[in-house]
Amino acid sequence: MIKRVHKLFICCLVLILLSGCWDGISIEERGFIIGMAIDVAKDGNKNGSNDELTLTSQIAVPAGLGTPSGGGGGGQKGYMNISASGISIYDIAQDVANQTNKMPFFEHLKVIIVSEEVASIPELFANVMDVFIRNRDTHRGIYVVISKGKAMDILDIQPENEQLPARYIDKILENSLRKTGEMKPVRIGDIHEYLLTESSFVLSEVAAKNNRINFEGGSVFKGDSSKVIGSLSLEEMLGYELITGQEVRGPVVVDFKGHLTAYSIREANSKIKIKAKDPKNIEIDVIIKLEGEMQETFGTVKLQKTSEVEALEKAVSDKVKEIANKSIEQAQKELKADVFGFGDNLKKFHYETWEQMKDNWDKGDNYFSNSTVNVTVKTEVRSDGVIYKSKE
Amino acid sequence: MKSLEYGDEKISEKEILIAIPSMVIGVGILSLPRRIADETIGSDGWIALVIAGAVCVLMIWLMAKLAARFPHQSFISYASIIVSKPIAKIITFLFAVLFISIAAFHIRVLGDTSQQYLFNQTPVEVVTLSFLLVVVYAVSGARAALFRLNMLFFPFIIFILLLVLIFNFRWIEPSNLLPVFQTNVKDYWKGIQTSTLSYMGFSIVLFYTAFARQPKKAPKIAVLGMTIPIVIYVFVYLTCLMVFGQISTSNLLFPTIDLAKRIELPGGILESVESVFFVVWTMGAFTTTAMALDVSILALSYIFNRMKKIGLVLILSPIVYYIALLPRDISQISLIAGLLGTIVISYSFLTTLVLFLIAKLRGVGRNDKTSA
Repeated sequence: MIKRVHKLFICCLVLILLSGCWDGISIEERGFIIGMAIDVAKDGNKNGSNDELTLTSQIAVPAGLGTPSGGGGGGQKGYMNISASGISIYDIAQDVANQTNKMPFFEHLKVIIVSEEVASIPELFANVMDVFIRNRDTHRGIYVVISKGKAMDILDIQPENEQLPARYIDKILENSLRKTGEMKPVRIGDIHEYLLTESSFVLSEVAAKNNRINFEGGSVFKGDSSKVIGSLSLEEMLGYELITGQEVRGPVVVDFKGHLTAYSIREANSKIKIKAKDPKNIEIDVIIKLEGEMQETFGTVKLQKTSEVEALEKAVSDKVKEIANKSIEQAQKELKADVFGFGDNLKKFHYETWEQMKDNWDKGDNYFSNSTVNVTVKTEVRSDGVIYKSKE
Repeated sequence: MKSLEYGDEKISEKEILIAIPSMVIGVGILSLPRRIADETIGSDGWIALVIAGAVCVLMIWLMAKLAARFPHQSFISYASIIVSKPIAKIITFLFAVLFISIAAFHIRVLGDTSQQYLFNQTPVEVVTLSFLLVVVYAVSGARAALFRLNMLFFPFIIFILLLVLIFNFRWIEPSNLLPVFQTNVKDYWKGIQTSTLSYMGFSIVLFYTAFARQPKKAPKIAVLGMTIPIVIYVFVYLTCLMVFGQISTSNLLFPTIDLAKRIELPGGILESVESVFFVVWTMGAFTTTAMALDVSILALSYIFNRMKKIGLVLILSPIVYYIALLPRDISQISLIAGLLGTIVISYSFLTTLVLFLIAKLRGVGRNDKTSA
């Protein structure tokens, strides 16, 4: 009998202990934040130290998402955007909890959009990023982009084929455009490293146009002044991507024997070799290797002879070299910011020289602007499609 | 609850082989890459890790050699032969105190880390207590069972760790390892000290060799077992560097967790792989804590040989809990970590050396002809 009471007691104890969970939040009470946009608040003072920020959080509404086959649940939107203003990002994010009945949950955060205005205020961009790098729920793979206008407008884009704007942007960054060479997806983990080393870097710049996301080029963030100081055009972005050896795919349109011809890059590689004898005159060799095929021509080229192929290869090489040189010139003369990571390369391969000159690389005396950059492009044309000619 | 009992209290070579890495790999692996990257330039930290590892391998070989001179004798009995009984008692007691502190430290770090990443609202006291209860349950049973548990857990720990390293292959940037050999001697020395601390705990060999079936083989096996954590540490460290770069690594609280968080499986099958990693890491911390507590119980049972094992467990566990909750915040914990590591390592090094030398000089124990 006593044994039975004993067992019953233990059972009750187990019941009480097992059901209790301090951290239990049911899934419907969680507000899954998938995208965030950071703007300068309208009535906040712009240049003072207390920059008031407006944070827009996009929260997924699972009920509105429906099933893949069944479509959305009765015209309900799959997301809601909530804006709040304040000084600290964390503070504002907690405010979201008061506006909705949900607890903010950052683990599924995919994209952070920062308006150009915020990024142009010194230190503010780094300060804003801190909370996302520091938070234990966010991961280091979150994409960060700069918006030309209001950042919150980007989160209002409602594409026909996707129910969540943030997901749409995330997918674009992840899949398609990475390969066209016009933009570089930068992740928050990379930004952490850039900020720690005070390096300059490029962030993709986007704008909302006609319910679509539009890539405007790249915003250049200068490491030592800790703000966005200028931008790269789309073509300069391509040059930048090619020089830094990103995964670039996409067309290069050249003028070949008086006709437009589109060459499509299938694989791009780059090698950077630096001769660092004299810190005041660093010689940088950039070798870009391209591999691809002819996709379209307005003329009647027949890539049969080796000489023809070589001529086209040369035309492409020249064009790419021109693009790359333009990007370099923009970076050296206009922006005076080493966005190509040459400094990183110097640190890795010429550590001793780098230690002497690291304070004068793209700041101080700016040796970067005075360095000589030689671009060599090697192009290979692999094929020209399934026909010889389309017209006489 | 009836404790499980095995026919014999002897442990096989394989079990010793696994026990050493299970003991060494504990909570330290989470912050190890940061601590090493903080003190060295580029990827030079691996040199510090390997040198420190080599020293520890030498030490563990000496320990096992010492214990093997007196086959099937407990630590206190051979220590008594070498340096009279009272001194042996003091040495054993100090070992017990140190291992109690190791256990307490592990419990606290596990509690803190779990609170950071898993249970935001749960008080750290509760997490710590529930972990301690499981550990107490493990050590109150047969000792052989603990070793068999190690055998069971260890493959999982290695497998998941490897998985974390492999899935990060996408993010690896080998040039992050540059520059090499730029660290100055002073920083190397610091790095070696830090690395040595991360290997603490292997002095269990002094106590556990007594249970080995073939003590003769113990030195070789101990050395082999010790190389496992060295290899793992070097791999984890280098992967962290290649993924995050040296500067980021030195600024992450737990680079190894971030490594696990970085994983994105294709198709989004599993997001947050780090939860799996946490489970496995808890297993690793569990084996370390359980063995540390077990060694301290073993050491105390030699001194107070009239006490029953369960009595010692019941007295020790509140003490462990109390010590675990002493540090107030994370800075105090890391301060204690450094202090504890230094004391444990230097104490075990010193005792082993002294005991070994005296044993050699006095010619006690099995002579060298048979042990060589």
